Amino acid sequence: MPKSKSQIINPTPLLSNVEETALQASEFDVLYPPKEKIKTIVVDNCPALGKLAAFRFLEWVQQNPEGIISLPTGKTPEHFIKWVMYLMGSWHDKSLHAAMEEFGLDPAVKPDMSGLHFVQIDEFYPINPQQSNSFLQYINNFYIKGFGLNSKKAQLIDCSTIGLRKHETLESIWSDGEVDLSLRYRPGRTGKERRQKTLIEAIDQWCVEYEMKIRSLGGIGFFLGGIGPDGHIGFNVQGSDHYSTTRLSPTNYETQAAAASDLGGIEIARKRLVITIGLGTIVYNPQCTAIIIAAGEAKAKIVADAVRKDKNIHYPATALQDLPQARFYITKGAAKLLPERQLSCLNKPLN
Amino acid sequence: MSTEQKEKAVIDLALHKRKRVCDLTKDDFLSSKLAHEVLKKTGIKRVSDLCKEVEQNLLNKINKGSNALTNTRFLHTEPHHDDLMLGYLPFIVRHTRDPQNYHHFVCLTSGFTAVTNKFMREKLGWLSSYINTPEFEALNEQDYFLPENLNGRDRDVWQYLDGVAANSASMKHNGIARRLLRDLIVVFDERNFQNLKDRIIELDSYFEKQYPGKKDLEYIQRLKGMSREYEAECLWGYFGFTCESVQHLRLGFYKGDIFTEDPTLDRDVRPVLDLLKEVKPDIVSVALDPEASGPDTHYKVLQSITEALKLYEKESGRSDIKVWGYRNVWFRFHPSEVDIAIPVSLNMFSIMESSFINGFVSQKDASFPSYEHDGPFSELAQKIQVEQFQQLKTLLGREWFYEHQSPLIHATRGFVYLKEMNLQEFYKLSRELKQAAENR
Repeated sequence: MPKSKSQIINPTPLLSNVEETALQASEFDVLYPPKEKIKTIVVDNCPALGKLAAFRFLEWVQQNPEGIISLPTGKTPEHFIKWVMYLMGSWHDKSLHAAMEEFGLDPAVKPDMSGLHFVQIDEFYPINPQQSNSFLQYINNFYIKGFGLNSKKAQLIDCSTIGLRKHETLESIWSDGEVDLSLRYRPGRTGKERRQKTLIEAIDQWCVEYEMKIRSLGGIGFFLGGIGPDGHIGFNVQGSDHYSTTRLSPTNYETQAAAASDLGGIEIARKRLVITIGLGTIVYNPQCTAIIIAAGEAKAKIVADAVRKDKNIHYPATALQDLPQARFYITKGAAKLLPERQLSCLNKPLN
Repeated sequence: MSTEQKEKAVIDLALHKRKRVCDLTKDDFLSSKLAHEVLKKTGIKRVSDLCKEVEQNLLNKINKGSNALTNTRFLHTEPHHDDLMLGYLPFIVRHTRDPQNYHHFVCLTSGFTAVTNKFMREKLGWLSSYINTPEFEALNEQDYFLPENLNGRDRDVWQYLDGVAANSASMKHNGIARRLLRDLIVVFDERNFQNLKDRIIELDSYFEKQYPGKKDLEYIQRLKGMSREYEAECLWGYFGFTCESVQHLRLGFYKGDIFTEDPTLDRDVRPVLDLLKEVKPDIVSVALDPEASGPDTHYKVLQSITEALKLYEKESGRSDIKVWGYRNVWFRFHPSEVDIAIPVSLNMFSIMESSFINGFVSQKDASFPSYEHDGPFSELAQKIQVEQFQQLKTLLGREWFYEHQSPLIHATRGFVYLKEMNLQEFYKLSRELKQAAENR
């Protein structure tokens, strides 16, 4: 009987060299079907997680020097950033070449970052981009300057320029830092509210254009992100539409609590909205290499849900299931609630 | 297969089936791939034998947590100032009742990131209202506020605790203002009251103008950290300890940057080693977070203590030290992972709540809460301890608790878990500093 089209397409594309190497070193398989639905590589600890993500990123850049990338902010990517910078800074150091080869990376081709297009995943709103705790600052410091990306090819979320008129500032429009999204659906009662309403409309329009720009480039080719306490990817919190696009949006308590230390307290975080690309934005390009990194036992439950549940709005990461190149890179602690992997541990000799 | 794997599978099965461990049947085991595999691997023929073994292990843990050690020297360590009390306060309190025990409490970081500018302004307001009073002038004339006046430090705490007892906000604010003034004298190396009043105005302006979340200047970080240190002294003062028993190491890796530095031998490990030499502990407690699930400070503190203990063991020959690993609000132990299960009564919950809310004034607004609970950490710690009790109640049956002869078990409404390790076990679990850097 001839194979149908869906049978002809390889349902389990090969892992990359770097991933194959990491898998060899791991005590687990990459997938335990049918319960697990996203390929997952387990490493020993947090630095090893950053190392794997960095090697995979550089491998991808070698193959896609003009690709579109989205990289995370916050504390999660610390080791990823340090590893990328270290490897790029020492690329011609021959003593490292053996290690690169051992890890599946070709030392003959130094990745060229200058041709990459960068897409910012998310940002708080409103936030002054000059503040050190704005994501834009982070991206400028660690990715544009740190990785040597071309700022002209970076698609960024600068809250201080979106929809504001000359002589207006974020503070002058949102004096208490609070944005009332009900203005989307009701008339403004005062002059100030009427201006706020038109600004919200301008931001919404800006978000549509941001999305269009990403799609006109073919969508994101390499997405690296963390996973929040409620399972959020980017700022697509629990309950987000899997077809969602870039938008101005409120967050939930879990996300606000996680952001409290960056923003200087939950009181501030409660007031902040976010601009985030959508889950639909991430999966728009079916060839997207989408990697979620998670470390530690505290993430075990949320990782287990994301990897094992059927597609459901309660688990934002399940939106990635359609991507053949979607991956979870996690530490042993974060894998603790994946039963199939725990079962396989029983058959391993004790250390 | 380890004992822990075996226990975990049986416990998870019982919790899933909502059955006592001793009531599990062969059919229950057949319904779970993992439990069935464990049963096969143990080679135990009868399910009841395996269940009895697991049940006995659980009882041993509770038994260990129901008794207290004597003639023991404790070094209680914490990454942040509230980690110990949220981790295993009930066991600490039980051990403080025996005067033969010696306790030393040490916080390894300054913890300034958890102090808001709003709170600092509030404190400065209290100090402004007290600094001009005859009382403060008289204290100043007695050299009360001088950094070397250790009795004065203790009195700052006692004044505050007197206010707690009298339910008097003004007495509490008085104590806080005393300590803040003492801290300003140290930070600015300034003893002139008029100049200090100018500093208060200057600081108030600073805290008003900074946007929340901005990295503070080094001396502001120090001042904020001192706020937390005072709170820790008030907390342990609650239980009768003076400032001498409460130490603040302010390890250097903790700087308030987005990515904290890795600990280093001279800067971060040496102070812990010196402390070990001074305290000569039999028990060292650590926040056990080997993979940095919570704040990565926990992980870096763990690395520093591990290295210090290795050096101390080598120098002193003390290989008999036990390590108590605790966890609190960031993530939990599975019952199979622990060696000690400490019963917690309603009485102890009251103490925890009262001492947290009154001791950690900077944290009572819960500006940096857990994503699991919108409120103070003490409430979340209680919630976790209650959940742990509910687990054990399911595993052992309510009758075991309610028909037990011991009033302690009768009164149990929560459980705290600890993992006890010898040094070699601890070293294995922890990770070495160099490994953390992965040869970078």
